[in-house]
Amino acid sequence: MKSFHLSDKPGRNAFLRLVPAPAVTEPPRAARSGRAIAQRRFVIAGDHNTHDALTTKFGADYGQALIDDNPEVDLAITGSPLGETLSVYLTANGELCVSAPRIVEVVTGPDGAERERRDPIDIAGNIDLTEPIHLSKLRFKRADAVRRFVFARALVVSHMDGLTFEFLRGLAQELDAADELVMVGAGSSGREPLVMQQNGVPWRGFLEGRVDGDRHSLILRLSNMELKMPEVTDAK
Amino acid sequence: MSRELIFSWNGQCAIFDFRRIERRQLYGSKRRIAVDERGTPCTRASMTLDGNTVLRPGMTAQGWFTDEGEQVETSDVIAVGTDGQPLPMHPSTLGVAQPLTETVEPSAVLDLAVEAVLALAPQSLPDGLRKALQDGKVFRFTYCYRPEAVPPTAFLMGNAEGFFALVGRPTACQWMSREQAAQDVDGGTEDDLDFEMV
Repeated sequence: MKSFHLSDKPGRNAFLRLVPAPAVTEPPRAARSGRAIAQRRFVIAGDHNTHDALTTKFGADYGQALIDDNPEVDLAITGSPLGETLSVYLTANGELCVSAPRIVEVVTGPDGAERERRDPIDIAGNIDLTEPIHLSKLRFKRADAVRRFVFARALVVSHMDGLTFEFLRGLAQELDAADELVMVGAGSSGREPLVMQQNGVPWRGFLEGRVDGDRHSLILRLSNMELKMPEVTDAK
Repeated sequence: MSRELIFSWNGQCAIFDFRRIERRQLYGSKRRIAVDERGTPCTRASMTLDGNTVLRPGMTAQGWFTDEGEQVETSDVIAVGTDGQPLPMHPSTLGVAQPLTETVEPSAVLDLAVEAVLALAPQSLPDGLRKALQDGKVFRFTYCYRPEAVPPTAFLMGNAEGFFALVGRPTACQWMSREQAAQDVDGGTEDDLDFEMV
């Protein structure tokens, strides 16, 4: 549960909590025979059985070698279950990096072409700082918002005590009655994107309120994409 | 098999070509990569905890196994309901007319956990349906790319940019009451709105 510092007007702010919206669950899987099953990671090839290794040994057309000797299978390790592993990096020559590699940030344009390589800049999370998240003046009717933005994530704003319950309920009631979402932003201007944690994805945040009798729901909806056509298409 | 989305609406037929769109196609992207001392990109791999085996890309896979360690072919894996009984498979809806009978409130779209955004190009679109979409109507339909036990929900909509479908899974609203805080579950001006910043 994340801490969330929200202000709805100058001088009125509260530290709250954000909880994930209920997760979508997939139906469980079973074998057609009815037996219980689980997904596992396992080894399918050793160092000498990869496409590159086989190409080096037998040439590009190694189909007959597969038929004759099964060189793609190493009976010592193929099929072995894999537990926890460590992440490592390999050099372009396929050797293990023995010192930490340098990290660079690659910026690509909408056409997929590389625009820039630069040293990465760490971005701090900004949703629970001394400077609260502010409500902006930008409001959108629900019907317009759903046709303008793609909302990729939702978090429910939860109260900490009776006072913050009243604070959130009032906000939810006002937004629900107006049938609107209000955009929220970080920084003193209240216009910077929301970053949930260090180097996290920057999001545009929108608050939606719903009221049902004594209950309410104030939902922080996150979007990083407008609903519009790309000028360049590089994928079907 | 036809790859179009076909809808039946008031006895008329609408046909759309479609393609998936992603954020990077609109705004570009930033990604971090590891490079060696010469600036050549490194490849990410795995190493077993005993340090004996380096697993390069292409050397591992995921599969389904019984408790006894016997592998089950993907074609023999089925979805089951809470009673353990197999769920019927819903066939692919591509190229098969889906009825557009239900318009939805915006809250239904907001409650969708979006998995894919599709850009639609109309091949044929009845004037009445075009007007309904341009007026802001949103239609629910079933979208099933490949046979699935529980097909996703999709919404057909339009805006000034064109026609789109959002594909995903419906979620339930989580309510707050005075007595109980939520339990953690698993599970300027308009012109200033700048998505390049995010």
